Amino acid sequence: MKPRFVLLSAASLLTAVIAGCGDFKSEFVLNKTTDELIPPAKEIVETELHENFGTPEELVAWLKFPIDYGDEESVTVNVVGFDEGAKGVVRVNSEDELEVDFEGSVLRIGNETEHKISSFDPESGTLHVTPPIEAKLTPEDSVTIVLKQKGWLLKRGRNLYMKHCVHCHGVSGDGNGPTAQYLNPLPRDYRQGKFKFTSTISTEKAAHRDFRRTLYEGIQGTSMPSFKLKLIGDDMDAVIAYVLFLSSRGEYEIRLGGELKVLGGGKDDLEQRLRNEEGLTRAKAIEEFESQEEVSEGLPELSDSVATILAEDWARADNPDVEVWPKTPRPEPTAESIARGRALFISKDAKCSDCHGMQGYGNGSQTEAYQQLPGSTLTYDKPGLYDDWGEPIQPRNLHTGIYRGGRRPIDLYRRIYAGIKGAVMPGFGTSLTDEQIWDLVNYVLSLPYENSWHGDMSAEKTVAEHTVK
Amino acid sequence: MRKFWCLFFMFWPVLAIWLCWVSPANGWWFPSIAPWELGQQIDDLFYLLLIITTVVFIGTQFALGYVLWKGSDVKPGRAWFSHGSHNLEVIWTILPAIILLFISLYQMDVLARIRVMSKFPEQASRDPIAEVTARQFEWRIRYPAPGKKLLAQPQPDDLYTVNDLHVPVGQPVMIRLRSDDVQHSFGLPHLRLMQDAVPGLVIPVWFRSNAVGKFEIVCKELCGWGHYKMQGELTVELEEDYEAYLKALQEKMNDDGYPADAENAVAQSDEE
Amino acid sequence: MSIATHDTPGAHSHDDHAHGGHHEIGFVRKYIFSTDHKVIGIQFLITTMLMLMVGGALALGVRWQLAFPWQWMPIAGDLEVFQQQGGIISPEFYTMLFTMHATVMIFLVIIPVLAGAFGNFLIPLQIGADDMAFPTLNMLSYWFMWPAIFCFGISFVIGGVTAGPAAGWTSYPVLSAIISAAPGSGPAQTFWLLAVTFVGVSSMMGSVNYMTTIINMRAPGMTLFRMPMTIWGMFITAILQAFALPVLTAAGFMVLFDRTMGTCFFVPAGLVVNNADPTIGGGQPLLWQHLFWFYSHPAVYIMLLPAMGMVSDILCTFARKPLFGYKPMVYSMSAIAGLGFIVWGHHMFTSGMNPALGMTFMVSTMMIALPSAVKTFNWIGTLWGGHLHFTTPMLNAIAFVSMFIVGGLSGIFMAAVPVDLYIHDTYFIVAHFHYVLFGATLFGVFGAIHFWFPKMFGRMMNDTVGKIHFVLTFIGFNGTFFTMHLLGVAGMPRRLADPYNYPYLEHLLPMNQFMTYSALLMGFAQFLLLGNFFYSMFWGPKCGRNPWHANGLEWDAPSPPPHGNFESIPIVYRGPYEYSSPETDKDYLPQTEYISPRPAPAPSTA
Repeated sequence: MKPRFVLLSAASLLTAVIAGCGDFKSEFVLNKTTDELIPPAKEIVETELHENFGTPEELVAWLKFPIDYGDEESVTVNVVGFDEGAKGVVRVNSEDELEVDFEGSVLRIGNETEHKISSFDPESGTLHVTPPIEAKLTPEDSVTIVLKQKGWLLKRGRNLYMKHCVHCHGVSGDGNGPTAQYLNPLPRDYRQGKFKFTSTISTEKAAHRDFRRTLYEGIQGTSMPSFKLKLIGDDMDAVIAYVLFLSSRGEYEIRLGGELKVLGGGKDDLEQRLRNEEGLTRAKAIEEFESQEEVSEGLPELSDSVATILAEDWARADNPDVEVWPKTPRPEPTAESIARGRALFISKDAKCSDCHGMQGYGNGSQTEAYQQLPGSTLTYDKPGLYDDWGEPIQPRNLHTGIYRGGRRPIDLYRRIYAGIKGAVMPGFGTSLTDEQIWDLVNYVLSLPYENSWHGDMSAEKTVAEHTVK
Repeated sequence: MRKFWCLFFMFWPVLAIWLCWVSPANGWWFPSIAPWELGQQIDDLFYLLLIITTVVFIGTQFALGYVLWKGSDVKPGRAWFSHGSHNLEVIWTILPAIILLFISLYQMDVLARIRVMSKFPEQASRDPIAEVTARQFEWRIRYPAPGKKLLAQPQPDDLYTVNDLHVPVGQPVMIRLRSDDVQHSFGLPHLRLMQDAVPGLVIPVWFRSNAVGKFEIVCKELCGWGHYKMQGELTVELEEDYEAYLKALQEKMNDDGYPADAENAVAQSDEE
Repeated sequence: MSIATHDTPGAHSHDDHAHGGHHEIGFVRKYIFSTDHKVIGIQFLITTMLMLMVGGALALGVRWQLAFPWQWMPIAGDLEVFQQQGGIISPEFYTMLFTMHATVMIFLVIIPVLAGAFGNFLIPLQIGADDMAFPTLNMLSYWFMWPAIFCFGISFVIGGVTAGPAAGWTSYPVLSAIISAAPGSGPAQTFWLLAVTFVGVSSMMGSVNYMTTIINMRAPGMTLFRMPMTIWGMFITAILQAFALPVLTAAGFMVLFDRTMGTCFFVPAGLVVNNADPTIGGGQPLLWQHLFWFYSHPAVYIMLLPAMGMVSDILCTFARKPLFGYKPMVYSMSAIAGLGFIVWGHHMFTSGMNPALGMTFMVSTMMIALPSAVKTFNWIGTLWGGHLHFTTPMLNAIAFVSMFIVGGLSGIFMAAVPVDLYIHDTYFIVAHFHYVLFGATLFGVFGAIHFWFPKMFGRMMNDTVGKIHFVLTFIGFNGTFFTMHLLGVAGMPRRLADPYNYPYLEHLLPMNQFMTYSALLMGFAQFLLLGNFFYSMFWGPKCGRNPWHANGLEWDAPSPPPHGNFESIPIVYRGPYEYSSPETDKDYLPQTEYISPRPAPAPSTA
């Protein structure tokens, strides 16, 4: 659009454009919030996204965000032999144990020229590189072999994401992959930057360890499987890096669009102004929008500040201060503790039963009430609860013994303390004491066994056992 | 050209046998030696069948090649006017019948030891080690608390994991196999074992591994779009490791996050 | 090399009706809504050949994913509908691919091409009847294929193009009975079940017709033991279908009711599928497996016996020799049919069925290998001492025998329950049934197409193209499917969208790529068949009544036979395989030829 992109935030923008392997031909799609902008504003968002995040094939890593994109890993080795006839062949000291990854490995001479390594024979230490080396190498020279290029973790994450995640979470991380429509509950849309089951306080984002735990354990009772057998070593960090990348991209898009809306870039606002203001034409309004200082001159700053605030949000989540830990240990789940929890469950203070029902079956009165649309006085068309993504959700039936956020006492403690982000479940960390929360935890954990029949197994007659005897 | 067709039909069985011959060396064969005696007996039965069928395969393909070769000669006179031979028919009916009957009776013992519940090792059938519940698309595993027996109904102190079954080495173990939704199949290719998890049934499965190690659990019955994702892991470990594992699992299940300190935080977050 | 001659040109125009009394019929009645068994047979044949290409394309999709998992798929990857997933095959699309591949190949190719196409075309011609017993029923049996094709077509698209019926062709409940279990299939699975019902109706009409025709309408002198093996194959198939199909149809309706009306024939209580409400239940999923395999195991023989019969005919013709052991062949075919009804449990060895029952099924399954072995030995005996003519039909027929040996022997592994515990639902079984269904049946069908094409259209197919097609198909076939045995032994389960998820299967990728290349070769070879078929239909060299010098009654009729088939009612004097008989100077002796000097058996009425 304008040549200004070239000179912008050169310090913070890593233009490490990562070559894609071409196995997938797809594009990031725009959020529908961007479609609510007038054309020039939409164009700004599109261009900013493309410049700062690239495409699925050619990713751009924005260093501003606290994401581990993967640093360069390289070794410096001595040249042993150089074939002057065939300038593409170099022999290096083969005693250095090199693991050359052909996809991204390059040979660097000095600090300037880079040659792609096309093959490497570890026995003899012979490297074949393209393009041919112009300079003359002598055995005294040392060259740098870049084993992993900058951004390798993100790139690997992208490849793994395209294999394991894209069917449900979609190319853009919008939770709209081809399989998504068949799932209940729907896969997460990362673009709001909200993740449900976290270990951080209710106002903060998810920490790196929360992604790790979710990938490791899966989310019981949903279609999110455990990846502990599939993502080994760096792979899990790679996927987390890519998910954070997609999430940052999506939220940046929403926030930038929001800023532009404030500056008069919203379609609806424009229509309203056209109706209300005499003598205002569409062209004039658009020109007005474009000539604002923030839009014409200050766009880089605007974009930068949006990203900075977002990056700070993410950085805070990994701060140990925002992690939820109980101040007292869990008391024994005695009948008294459970009874106190039960009393609290149906009390006016906690109001658990409004949603979860008097008996904890997830059928409280709120599930039949009409809920207000966020930021509006209107209500949803259908009664019941809705999450921040606008999808209907059910309060959990606490009798099934299925706990999506994990079944350890600390997990339930955190659910009650910090709530479930993006869902209706609020955090009670400020309104309840630790003892009260633990009583609730004990009560909730006792529910699946309320009517349990403690018979021993020999009394159970199943068809299978009956027939195979 | 006539001989070409004879060679054409004779060439491919040679190729096929050669391919089978080189396969084990190339890894296109059993994933590993079965780490228990019944698994090895299954392999032995497989090799027995392989020998019988290979002999028959070579015999019939050779016979086919031979009659093609003879019949492709351009010779004067007529084809052999024959409507068959009663004796030959009797021979080639009775002989395969005996072999087939032998094969099927010979298999019975191994089958009975794997499947018939009254023949299960008593130690295994008395104390099922875990309940494995198949679900789209994962294996949910429930152990009893250490020192307790597995009961049919879930108990508050049960231990849960996902896709991760641990058993002690060298002991016969029995699991109770269930399904929460559709039909799955609990496959242990390294142990040469497989049992469908049928909704509505609880099916006992027993096995033993005499080798320590990790083996894949495979879902072998189509269970929906994510069928291929349904991978589990069987970890066979020493008795004391197994007990330590259960203990650690119990501690993890009862983790209340107190006291919180930086050390604890790291340990909590790093599940591996 | 070919013994095709054009010495007796079929000089019979369509007005030349021996029976008289037929008036001119319009194009629609003659070629579309025809009640003539030959037209119906050809309609079936062309329909199934087109469906073969559809099924093959689906299979190539499956193979693409196995060789190049999660990679942009050629051609289809560029389509708009696949953009959401980056142009790759998504897991549910993969599930749909193999489900529909099996469905199309079984219900729309193999069963109709054998019973529908060749059954219709050959039965009246080979027994000397002027048409089927119920011509209108016959027409309906073809036109009931179309609702089936229509419903299968709908099931492709109704759930979005990227997902369709997703329960495998076996459609095991609970996956097929509860909509939320395979939500992508939604109404698609319902239409799939409806389509299977329509196919069943079509087959049932056919089998009633075949049985009646074969029992009642044989020409004078055509006793049961003078019938060609093809007719025996068709006859036994018809009986199998008539007894087994109602079970499948009933079971299909039960699943339909489970899906649409909330009955619980196959759904036990308390299942929580994809977070839907718990099922109410009371049913039993194993019941479906019993009902389904009670049909589908005999169906395996429905898909094989007619091909066995046709191959017997072709082998005798081109070996210029009588069939070795005609009666043992008939008895073994009947034995296969009889045993076929008591082996269905071998599909359920790992299902948790009572092990005592499993042992019984193991013995009966082993025993069904016996008649198959007898047949194989007899085919080799037939070729023994013959004067072989390596025509295209003959090559395909020999390939049938050669491939059937592999398919039969690999079946023994599956029949042995302990071994089956390991290889059940691996690629070993995929290899096994492709050797039987493709290696045997389809090669038999290719042979039959080349063999009876002159009778169908009065023109010859190109022999050279036919041989090239045969060689490419044979190489591609073995390259694809023989290697599958090894994958099976290596423990690679079938129906996995990405087997390489499992570390112990990762090293099988190069092997799978080799198989995919072989499959591509095999797929493209089929264009030769289609080209040869349609080209020869119009521009092939004309042939006479009996280009192969064969004995069957059909070769006594003009090529193509007119409405009503024969000029006069043929009289049968002997069995169909009297080649190289010393009674005559020719090396063949048609069933209708009366030889005066020697006392021929008196024509007996059937």
